Amino acid sequence: MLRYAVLNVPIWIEPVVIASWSLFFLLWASARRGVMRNLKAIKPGSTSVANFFRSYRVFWNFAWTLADNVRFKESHVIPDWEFTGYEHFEAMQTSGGAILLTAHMGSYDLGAHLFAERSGHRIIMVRAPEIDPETHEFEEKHRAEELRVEFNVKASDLALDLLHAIREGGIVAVQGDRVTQGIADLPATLFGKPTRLPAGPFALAMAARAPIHPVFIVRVGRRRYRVIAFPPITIAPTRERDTAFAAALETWTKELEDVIRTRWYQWFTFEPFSPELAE
Amino acid sequence: MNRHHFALARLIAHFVEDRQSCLSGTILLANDRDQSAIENYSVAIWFYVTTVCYIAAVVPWLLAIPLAVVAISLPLLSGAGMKANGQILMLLQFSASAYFATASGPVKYVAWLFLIVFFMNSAAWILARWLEI
Repeated sequence: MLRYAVLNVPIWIEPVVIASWSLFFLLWASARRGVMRNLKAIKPGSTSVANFFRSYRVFWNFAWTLADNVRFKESHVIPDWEFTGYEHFEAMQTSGGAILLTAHMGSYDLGAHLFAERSGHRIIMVRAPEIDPETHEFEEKHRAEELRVEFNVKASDLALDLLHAIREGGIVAVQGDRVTQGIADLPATLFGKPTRLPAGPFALAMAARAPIHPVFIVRVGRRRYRVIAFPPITIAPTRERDTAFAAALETWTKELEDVIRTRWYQWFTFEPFSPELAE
Repeated sequence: MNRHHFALARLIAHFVEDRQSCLSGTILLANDRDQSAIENYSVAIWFYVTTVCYIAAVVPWLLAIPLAVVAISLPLLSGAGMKANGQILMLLQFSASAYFATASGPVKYVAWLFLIVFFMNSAAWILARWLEI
């Protein structure tokens, strides 16, 4: 349906169509409640009424990123890109073998395509399995030559593949702000609430002796995205694994919090991120 | 590089905008005709408000607001493609404007505004072709 819309909606009327379709997202009660509960933690003291309208802004941005992503894959229309921390982004592109740690913000897919086309490295995107076969087929058909997508079905099998890929100079892109079932995790604190974040990127960085590059891709306007790159996080091989992971995780959560706090309308997490918020 | 869709916007940008000035080392600009956010939002809002006004001339305002979304969305179901659907929408709005331009009441001003901008864009299209913009 999204593909149909992208091929049939004239660009100059797109804002009206997206604004009205974003209203339908508000009817998705569980997601709306999830966003509102997360906003309560991100913006302490905020009212439910204000967060209801804020959740519309989250859905509005979500709809735009979905549309931009499909338009890019269907017609190869690229958005404008801005960079913050360009030197870190460039360092990642020039270094061989790294982990790109990001979040469910802006357009992960568009960003991965940009990296794949601009850098000479092979990008391996790790993502949750696609349930809909048609969407899976569409994603496979439209991915860039230098981009490989690995679905996180069995973590133990995937870990070895990813380790090989990094050692061969590839960049593994992982989302580190949410865990799904069956994925190894680490305890963390986000916005003062206890949560679990994926352990995989940190274990992989230690095993491969590769840096972790925190990179966020946020939508800053119509067909305009910003790549925010932070200095790399390095995890030296040590017997004190837990301490090393805790230190790296602390840096990551701080950066994640900073970006989400200022761009809460771009965080596409539709479930409460902490069990405390689900109660 | 011209990042505007409509001839009128392209022409204005050609003479007014300081082109290329925002190109710098950390910005990557897409060379695409539909890249102007100001143009895109202005046209979308103007088209929608015009549609609301026309429908409100027949039904109450509160009903006209959602009905305008339906009225704009229905032609898009033709599946004729982005360009053809754009032409269909413009043709329908032009016909509605021609009708309401002769009506009594404030809706005629909305209709006249649409017709004036429509003809200005047509003239700009001829000029833009002549100037090879």
